Amino acid sequence: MGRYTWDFSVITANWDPLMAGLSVTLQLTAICAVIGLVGGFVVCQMVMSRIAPLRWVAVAFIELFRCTPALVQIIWIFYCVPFFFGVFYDPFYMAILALGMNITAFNAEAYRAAIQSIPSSHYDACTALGMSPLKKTIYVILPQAVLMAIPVLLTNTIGLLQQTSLVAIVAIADLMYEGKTLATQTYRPIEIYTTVAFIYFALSVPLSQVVGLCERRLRSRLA
Amino acid sequence: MNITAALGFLWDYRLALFIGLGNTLYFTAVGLAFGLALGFLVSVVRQVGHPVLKVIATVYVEIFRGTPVLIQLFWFFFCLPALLGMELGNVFSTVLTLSLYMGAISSESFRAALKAIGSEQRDACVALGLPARVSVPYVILPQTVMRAVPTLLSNCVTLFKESALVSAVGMADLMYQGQMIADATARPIEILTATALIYFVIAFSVTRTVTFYERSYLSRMRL
Amino acid sequence: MSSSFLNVQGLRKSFGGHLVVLDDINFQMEAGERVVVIGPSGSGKSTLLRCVMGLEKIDHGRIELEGVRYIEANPKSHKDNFVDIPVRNKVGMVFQHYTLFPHLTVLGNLILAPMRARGESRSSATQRAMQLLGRLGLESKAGAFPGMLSGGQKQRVAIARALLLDPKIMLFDEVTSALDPELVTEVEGLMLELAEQKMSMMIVTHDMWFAKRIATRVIFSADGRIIEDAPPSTMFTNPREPRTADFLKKVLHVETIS
Ligand SMILES: Nc1ncnc2c1ncn2[C@@H]1O[C@H](COP(=O)(O)OP(=O)(O)OP(=O)(O)O)[C@@H](O)[C@H]1O
Ligand SMILES: [Mg+2]
Repeated sequence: MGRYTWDFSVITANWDPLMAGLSVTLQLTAICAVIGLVGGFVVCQMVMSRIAPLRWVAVAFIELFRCTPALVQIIWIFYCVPFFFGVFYDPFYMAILALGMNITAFNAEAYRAAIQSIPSSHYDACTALGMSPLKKTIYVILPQAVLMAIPVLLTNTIGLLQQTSLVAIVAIADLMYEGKTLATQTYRPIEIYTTVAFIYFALSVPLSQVVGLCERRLRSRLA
Repeated sequence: MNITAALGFLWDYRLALFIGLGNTLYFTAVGLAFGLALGFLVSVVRQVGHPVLKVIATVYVEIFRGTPVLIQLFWFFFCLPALLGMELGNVFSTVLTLSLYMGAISSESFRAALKAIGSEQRDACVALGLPARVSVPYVILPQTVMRAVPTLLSNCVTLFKESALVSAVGMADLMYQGQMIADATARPIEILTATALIYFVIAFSVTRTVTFYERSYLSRMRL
Repeated sequence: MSSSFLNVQGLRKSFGGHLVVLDDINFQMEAGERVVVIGPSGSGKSTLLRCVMGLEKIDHGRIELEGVRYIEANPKSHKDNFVDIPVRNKVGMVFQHYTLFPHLTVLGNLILAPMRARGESRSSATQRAMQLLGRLGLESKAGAFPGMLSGGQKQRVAIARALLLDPKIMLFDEVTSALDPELVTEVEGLMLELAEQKMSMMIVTHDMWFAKRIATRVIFSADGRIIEDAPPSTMFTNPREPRTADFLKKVLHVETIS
């Protein structure tokens, strides 16, 4: 080990930009999480729709976003959307577009898996009880699907929090970007990157505890 | 846009893209090899190891799952060499990060698979008088691996996609090459789309293989 | 040392130190006997069989087979029990949920232990396995994976897997409980065949009619103790203990069976 002297005063001195970055990170995460929760369900319904073209579009969308790196998606959208549409949107909105579509694709899969895990006997029971298909979806399938999907949806949201750090590469001033800038400005990368990593970690851990709790609850409820 | 012209343009840069892809595959492959071995070891330690080792293994897994890969890369590129007071080499830092990340995510897959083997299977081994030297390699290990293969393959796809981040620290992988050409030629659409497609084709084939494997083998054995 | 074939002495078993499931069980059986254990759910029937098989760590007592002690509690230290593995390997057990190895074929399941644990050659183990499968009418299933078999077939393969190791005694824990009614007979038929060949057996079942057919002795257990131990003729028609009579009345909905 080299004798490195830690000096965390650099953190307190630059507290404000770090917090500003954190705020951008949290905004991005929150907005895209909501987009993903709603969009994922819509895309999932499209995948299971009876109309073939809708199905194809939805499946292509999911596979495209699940099988390419999020970074490629972000860069592609940043470079190519202005080219195609001839307009420059605020980078923040472009980032929301990219990350929002990414989590939508992953959440759609989570919903689909949850719906498929509902035993067919439940559908039969609904029919036997004389429920209409719409009522069946609203009262029986939807609540169960959401319940079953919660752990994976939460896990995806933790993933989203971490993916937001990619926007630093396209110079959006999130936590990662502020960290990077400060690290070069202050020549104190160790303290800064360690602190930034710790902040992400501290945000993820409670969420993953909730995931564990949900899984145990679900298991005991469905047992 | 003229397709022939686009293809001709891409053809001119085939070598650069090819080198990038080679590097991407190389980083991914080395990360996989070390990561899978580490992941299996960690999962076994977390199941049967000494309490202190268990805590260390758990903290390791949680840190690498709970922070963005980008910050992990930055940390191993800029912080670790300074802390150790020596050069590590860029390739070493890259491969180290990817291996540690893969080790963390794959250890969870191994752990879930180990857990999923019911105590009944172990009881049957005792009732048949199988000593550990027989039951571990012939009963426990094959079932663990067969169960873990689908999630491990998805982990591989994840690692392959995450490897695109090494472009952010200047490693000449596929993403980096694509971006470089896009910047140099001011023709991002063709080159970034081609880059995305290359990632897609590889990731998508592996994903399909997983589905095929699950359908044909796992369902037949009702594991 | 006792001259009994199977001898359970002062067996005590608790879970977590306070839930006492078996409380000072003393029990002997002779070779060729077929002892059926009956009793209310949770009375410790499975636990008794699992202790005899050596699947549970016991708190107190010892178990002997053919006069040789093979399991003994270690009351002073809370370390593992003493287990004589070669003797324990003379005990075979079949479980309620088949517990076949899903990644191996039927034949693979049968020959794994003879080959890998007993050092028998592949050809000899395969030959014996195929002979046994032939007797059970399961020859055509040798290459099938367990997931492709019916419940009754799975359970008969599980019995064959245990038999191939030439056990001195077989333990059956509710082996037909998970089966569809029409598949029960094929498994019970196989057990009756084993009875004819004078196989020593301990059987846990909830089917009193089958118990009456196969048993040479019936044990009624409740609250971790053996309440009554009698031949089936007495047990089912004229039980001595009021608790036995109560239990039989509940499960049979009639006074006695004849
Ligand atoms: N691994 C265990 N840990 C804790 N308690 C256990 C365990 N196994 C069994 N028990 C408890 O021991 C008691 C006896 O269980 P056992 O399975 O032997 O009963 P049983 O007579 O076989 O019942 P059944 O007819 O339902 O199969 C029950 O109260 C059960 O809850
Ligand atoms: Mg039982």
